[in-house]
Amino acid sequence: MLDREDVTGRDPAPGLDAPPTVKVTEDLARVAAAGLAPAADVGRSEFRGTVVEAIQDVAQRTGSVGFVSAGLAGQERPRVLEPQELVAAIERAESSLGPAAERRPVYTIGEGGAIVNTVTGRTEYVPVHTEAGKADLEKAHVAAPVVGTPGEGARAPDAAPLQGAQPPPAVPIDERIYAPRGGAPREVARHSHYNDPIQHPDGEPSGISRRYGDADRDTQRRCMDLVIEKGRERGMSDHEIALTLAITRVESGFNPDAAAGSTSASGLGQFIDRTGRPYGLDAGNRWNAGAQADALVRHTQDNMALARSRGHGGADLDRYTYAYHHDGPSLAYGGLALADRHVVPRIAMYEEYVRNHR
Amino acid sequence: MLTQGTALLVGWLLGAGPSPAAGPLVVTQGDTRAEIAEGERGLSITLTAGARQARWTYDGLSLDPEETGATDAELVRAGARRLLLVRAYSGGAHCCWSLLAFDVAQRKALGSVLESQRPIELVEGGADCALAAIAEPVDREAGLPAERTLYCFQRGRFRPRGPAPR
Repeated sequence: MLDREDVTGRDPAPGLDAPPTVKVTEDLARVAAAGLAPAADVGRSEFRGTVVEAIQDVAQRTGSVGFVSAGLAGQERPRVLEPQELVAAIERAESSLGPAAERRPVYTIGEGGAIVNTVTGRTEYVPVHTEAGKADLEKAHVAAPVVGTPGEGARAPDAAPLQGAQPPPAVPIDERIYAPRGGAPREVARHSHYNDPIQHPDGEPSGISRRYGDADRDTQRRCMDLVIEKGRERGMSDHEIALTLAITRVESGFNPDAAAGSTSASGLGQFIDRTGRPYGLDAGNRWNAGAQADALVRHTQDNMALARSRGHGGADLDRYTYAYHHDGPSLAYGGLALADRHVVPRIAMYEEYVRNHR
Repeated sequence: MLTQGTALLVGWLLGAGPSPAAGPLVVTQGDTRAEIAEGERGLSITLTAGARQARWTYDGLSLDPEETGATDAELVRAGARRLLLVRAYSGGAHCCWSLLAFDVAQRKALGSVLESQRPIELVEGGADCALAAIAEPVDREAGLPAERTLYCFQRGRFRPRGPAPR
């Protein structure tokens, strides 16, 4: 898994005080084309954290490609920001207010991923592909119909209203299977591969940068397909391959060139140098997506065997398999909670993708 | 790193490298000797101070596999206490690190006194902190951005002091 800091955006982004503008990204347009299907219910009353943490949590668990400010819903042209842009904008605004204003854990997550300030009781942000987000977009007339299908040059006409639009074309692949781009690390350790140059032979899957999820959709899909191919070669069931895909998603966001800033973790499975070695990864093939996928499949199989040998079969198998990936055999470092939050909820989605991939 | 003047001798008995085949890691200081061996099942730590000896095993752990340049075990002073510190790794694909501590005078294991999702650095703590370390808290619950955090050893554990200086 990449450093947590790697999913915290630090990029230049529009400030909160900037005039409202419309940002309808290609991703957002695809969400519109998909009919803004409601996300899985991510309501979790026990969550309490900062607004940034809440946004990251919802984005991770729903795969939402954008958030709309609920407070702006009545305006004609509210902004829709990708999660990392929103996080960067909030952090910039908070830093201008001084340390006391930062990181106040007063936010919770309501129904459909709505981010609620528990002090004021108000919903401040909603992910765009929930019913609430859809309603906000419809009110504001900012969503755009899309022409084409993912990976085939989908385009979004500017600021066309969603209301009254023709039924969108079928979208063959659930947009949520793709990972959003993460942020850059705040520092890079000496033994990290983050600053290694990205170089691939022609035709080999390649990321855009070493950030989590920073690979185009074609690359992400090719990496998913490699995991499926290697999983089938090694006798995995569709469900086991889906688990491996969910692990890949949380570790690298399907970027074969992803690298952590604070450790030597790299590639689809984010193995540090030493743990990747027994699975055939070395300096010569570290960035080869096929070798990475094979290593991750084998490691997942080993972790499944370990889980079963310790009596964690049945419904617990998926949870423990990821926990062993994260924690190692001791299970003392929070891997189960991370599995419950970031891995298990995505398995069914990837299993459907695997079933349709023949 | 807090190595100067603390660990008087750090050496491998049988060649260099931390793999099990390379032999145990040995740290000595005066009449104190610590031997840390990696085996198939985990870490075995033997501490000898004068004529008395104690031994502990930690299943599933290994020495830090990252090539950070730091030694994997050190004898250090924390105020009036002398400690053996061992940087251990949990065996996950990329996580997690623990700092195991042992009270030399009492030959007592303090256990895992600091956990981190990156290699742990021992650093100068300043006038009010005899022993300090930089680690990144392991994300147990919320999937939050982790901070590189400065810790100070007090009352048997490392306690957070705030973001680590860059």
